[in-house]
Amino acid sequence: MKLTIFNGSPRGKESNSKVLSNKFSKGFLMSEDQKEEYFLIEYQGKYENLIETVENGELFYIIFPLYIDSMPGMVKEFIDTLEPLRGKLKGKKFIYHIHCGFPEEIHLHGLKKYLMLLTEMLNGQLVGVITSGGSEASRFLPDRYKFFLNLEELGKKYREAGKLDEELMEKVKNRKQFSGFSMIMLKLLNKTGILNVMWNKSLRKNGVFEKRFDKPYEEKNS
Amino acid sequence: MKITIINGNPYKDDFDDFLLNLNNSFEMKKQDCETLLLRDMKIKQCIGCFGCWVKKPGECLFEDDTVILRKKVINSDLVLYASPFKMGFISSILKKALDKHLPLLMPYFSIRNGEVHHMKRYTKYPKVGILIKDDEEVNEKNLEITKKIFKKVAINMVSEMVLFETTRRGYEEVSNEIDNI
Repeated sequence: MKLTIFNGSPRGKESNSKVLSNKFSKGFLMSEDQKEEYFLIEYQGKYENLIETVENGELFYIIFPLYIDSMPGMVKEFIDTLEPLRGKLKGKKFIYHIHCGFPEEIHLHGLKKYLMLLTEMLNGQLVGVITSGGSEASRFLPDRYKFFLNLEELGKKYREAGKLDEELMEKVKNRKQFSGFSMIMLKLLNKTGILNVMWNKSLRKNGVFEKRFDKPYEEKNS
Repeated sequence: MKITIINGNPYKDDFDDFLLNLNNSFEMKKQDCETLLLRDMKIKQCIGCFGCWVKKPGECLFEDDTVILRKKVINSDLVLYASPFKMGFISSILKKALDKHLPLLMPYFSIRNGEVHHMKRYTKYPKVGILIKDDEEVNEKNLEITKKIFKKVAINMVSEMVLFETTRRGYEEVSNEIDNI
């Protein structure tokens, strides 16, 4: 079965979404020519050009990062363009993969519910919503990283069994949320400032470390 | 109380009239209120470059009209995000505007409500209100999902959601409810 990938990351081909979708499709596809990939950032303002692709597709893998607690605005623009197809996508299968830079997957729950509702509106068939926390560094991590191997395996098992393996779906969440001991450790680590090391490195490299707490829009008498 | 209404209506219709009446009702009560009409503003998609965190702290590198938006938002006591539903959720222009709120936060983590969020940049953040146009697109399910998402948005914006309403209630009722916040 052909896999149609819609990559909704505003970072396009340089995105973590691209890295993650490659892993899933590597596991799922027997050959690369069964894959069609669209980067939504390249279609901004002309999403109607993708309607035919949706009408002709069978299995969609729609991936994007969490932006301010839901989809990036441009992904919503794409979704809005699908309005003429509302109720008309019977039999078409939808896999969503949403991910966030926050370490915990819990931030994705509201968006997951919306995507389930969206599939209902389109009358499509929901295969599942894959959710992953802690994805921000994905494009810098080695191919053999466990998370990536699990995604590849998830794709492979989907091809073999026609459904998303529940155990692997849990694994690719990375971390559901912090609680108990892990929360205590997180608070301690956060206090040490160790979690800010990478940000501070970038701030120093760009010569703006001293300006990091700037409040450019604050009105004095507000 | 300083109120900013963010009008995320993509097309001119009676929802604009509702918001205009609401705005006027605050002015009648000598409240400081202003409406930003997003569809007349140039809003680029946030591309997640994090330049607002590590290159020009607090400001977006890509100039568009969201500079005004961020200024208004951070200096308000209440921001009312207003939108009709399309495909069961807020308009894409309102979502793009929300994406451009990122410079209002720090890159560093802080723990709020038992979850990791971004640390605040400013001393004070506005309270958050949501107003959805009541039409055939609105139902219990999509309202509940939107409410859940905006509760999170408010936590992320170091704030709280104090109002979640549809235009099923008249503008005067909504205005009075905001007075009591």
